[in-house]
Amino acid sequence: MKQIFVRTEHCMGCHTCELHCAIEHSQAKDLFGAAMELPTPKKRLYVEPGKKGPMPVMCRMCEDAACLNACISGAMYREPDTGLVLRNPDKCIGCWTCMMTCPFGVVGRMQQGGKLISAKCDRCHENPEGPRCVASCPTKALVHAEPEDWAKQERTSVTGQIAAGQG
Amino acid sequence: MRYVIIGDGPAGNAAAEAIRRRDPAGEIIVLSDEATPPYYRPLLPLLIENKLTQDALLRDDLHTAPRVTRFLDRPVTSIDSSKQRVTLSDGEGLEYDRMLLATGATPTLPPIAELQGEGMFVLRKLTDAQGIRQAAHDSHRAVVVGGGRIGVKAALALRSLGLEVTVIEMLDRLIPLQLDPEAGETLRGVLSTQGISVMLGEGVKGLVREKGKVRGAVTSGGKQLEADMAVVGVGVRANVGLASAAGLTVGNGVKTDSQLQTSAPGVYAAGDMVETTDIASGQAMVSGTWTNAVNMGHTAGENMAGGQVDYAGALNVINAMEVAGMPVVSVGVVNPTEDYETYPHRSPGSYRKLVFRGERLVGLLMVGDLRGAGVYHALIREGKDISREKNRLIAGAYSYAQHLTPQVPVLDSYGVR
Repeated sequence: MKQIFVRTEHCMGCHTCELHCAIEHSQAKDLFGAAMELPTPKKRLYVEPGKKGPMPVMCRMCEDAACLNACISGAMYREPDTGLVLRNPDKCIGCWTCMMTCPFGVVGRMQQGGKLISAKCDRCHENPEGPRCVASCPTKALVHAEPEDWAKQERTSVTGQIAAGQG
Repeated sequence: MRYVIIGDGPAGNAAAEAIRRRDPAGEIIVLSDEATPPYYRPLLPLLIENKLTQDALLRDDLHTAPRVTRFLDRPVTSIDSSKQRVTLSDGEGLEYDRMLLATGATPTLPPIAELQGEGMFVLRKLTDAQGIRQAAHDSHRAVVVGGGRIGVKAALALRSLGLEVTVIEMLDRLIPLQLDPEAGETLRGVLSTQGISVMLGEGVKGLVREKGKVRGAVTSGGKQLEADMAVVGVGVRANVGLASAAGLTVGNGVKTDSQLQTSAPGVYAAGDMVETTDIASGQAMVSGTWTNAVNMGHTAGENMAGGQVDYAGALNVINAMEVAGMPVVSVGVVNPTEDYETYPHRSPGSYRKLVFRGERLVGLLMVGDLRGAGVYHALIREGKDISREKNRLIAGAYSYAQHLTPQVPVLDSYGVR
């Protein structure tokens, strides 16, 4: 499964990804429409202060997902085809067990359909262009890639830069 | 290989999933003493309130292990671990290679007068919830004995159906195991705005019955209450009868080794019937929560199918809930005695309390604002020395980002850019 990787040294902490995450999860899908909407659309990733600068923290679609294991209503589920861990809004009762158990702290709360339910990353799976946080990042700090491709690309890049530095 | 699982709750289902992942071909048989396919017990209050139908309570295919044979309404009457055989209530025998005990727990009934009989309910099984809903239809007033999680949820459900409800709790606060006095007081306020009466520090001497029907209750202080029905939620005890009769080692729950195998080889145990250890306090405990049951079920299932996984221990308090619009998370030691340091933090509409023992975070209580709850919970579970992060934690300025370090340090060290 494709993952979202963070090129941490590129992250300037501008929070554009958060903004676009909220927009993607709005009805309007654009900034002005989203800003007017009630309830206010919620982001599902969080740019937090890290040890060496800003750090986007987001759902990893864990193989052994604590939120999925802990869900007491059957709302969290793993999509069989994609492996994504998603939340069924109809089944969510807003008990916050997922918030309590996600070790990354990336499950939030939101209003939808007159009730409070959990808010988590869905990798924008309904958008053929892929995750909007990735597309919106002005410094390309976020990369949506297969882990193997990412590792290979990073190796090549580092090798290239070392060679350049020595040259 | 035939796996027999006794109990169709969260522990049994988690075990079936784990077994199926490791052993695609093994035969898995789940035995349930209930007539319904597996369902989500925590949703029962919503059934009482008519917010969910019975079908909406059931596990779907995405949450059930594939290729499992279920025997519904077939209680097990005995286990012979030397012959690796269980006997069902109709006399049929069933042999197993590996067996899981996941028989859960049963609500405790307090020793009070005139308790048993028509109009008195516990809230554990689907049939209990159906009974409560039916009785509520014909009732105007309800008394709830016990102000714990179950009592409060039952009270809210009954109130939403229009009944006059009184909750009687022996201790000095509501949900006493999961809340502290301050959070308990907040909840009491919330319940009273909903029109629920709460009596704290008061026991129930007995119910009052007239021709067998509930007419009221008398408190330990001598107060008389009128009521047409009563719900009792004063705790549960592990269902260890089968295990005891089979000669397994039993304390407050069934005892197991680190891999959740009982004293009988090939027989494992998971969920509310197991005696395990509280990670936060180090004390022996019998769990009563979903999260622990699922974790134990996964570990037991994995080991039944040939794995060698140690169970890390449970948390005696690990609860998230939304009660009457008030979101709450409580984990670990939330009502510390001596030897603990406590850091409460209050802001409008929210309350957070962190409890430390030495350099370890051992307890968390959050009300209102739950952001970061999972990160704190993970720290409690890991039990590491976090003295360097302590101030940040207390200030609420901690996030998972603190664990992450830049992934390509080589770039920094070469000063490229």
